Amino acid sequence: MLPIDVEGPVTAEVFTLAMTDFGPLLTGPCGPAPWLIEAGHGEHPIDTVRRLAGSAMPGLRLLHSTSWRFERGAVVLSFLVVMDESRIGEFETVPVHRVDLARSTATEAPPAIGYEQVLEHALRHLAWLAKEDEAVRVALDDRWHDLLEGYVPEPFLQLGG
Amino acid sequence: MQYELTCACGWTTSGDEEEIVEAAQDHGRKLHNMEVTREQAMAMAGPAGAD
Repeated sequence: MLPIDVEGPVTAEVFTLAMTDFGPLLTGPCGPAPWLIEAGHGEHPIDTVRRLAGSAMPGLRLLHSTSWRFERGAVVLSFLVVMDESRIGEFETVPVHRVDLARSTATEAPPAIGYEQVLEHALRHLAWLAKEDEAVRVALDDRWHDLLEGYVPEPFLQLGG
Repeated sequence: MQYELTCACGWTTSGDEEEIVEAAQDHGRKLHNMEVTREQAMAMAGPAGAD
């Protein structure tokens, strides 16, 4: 059986994170993995993500876009959502670990981009936002700021081709 | 007849035709911003317990 899957020209890929005393966890209503949402149905993608994520996990701390890429015939917009650990409930979780980024050459895209690398870049972008954006700085607690000190800040990027 | 249906995100549901169609439509709408038709749901469903 082939599973039902998202389709369409724009896909939102949401990484839902919660900070704990043991470090950041990847979680969410669709499991500890990128949460795929169809976007572009006449609604701004960030409004779509805010609507669905806010319904599934009330009281979001932060929502930000971090990168985009072209994959499986669609533009994939990656988003980072930060929720309070008290909202994890029965969601499955996995720890977030540091990984090397997939880098392209001057003229070619990297051969493959795993979701862990997209998430690594998202956290590097969050490190940048935590220093450049007052709203983000205030939304994150001290544990987040301590974690992000270890990330080299990066802007919003196109990943891959 | 009992059916099983799986979403690419790993979510699964089982039940008779009406139950799985309703569950799939609710899941698609709430978590993926998708409108799943009855035909799509049944095209992806299989007999419960089958590999």
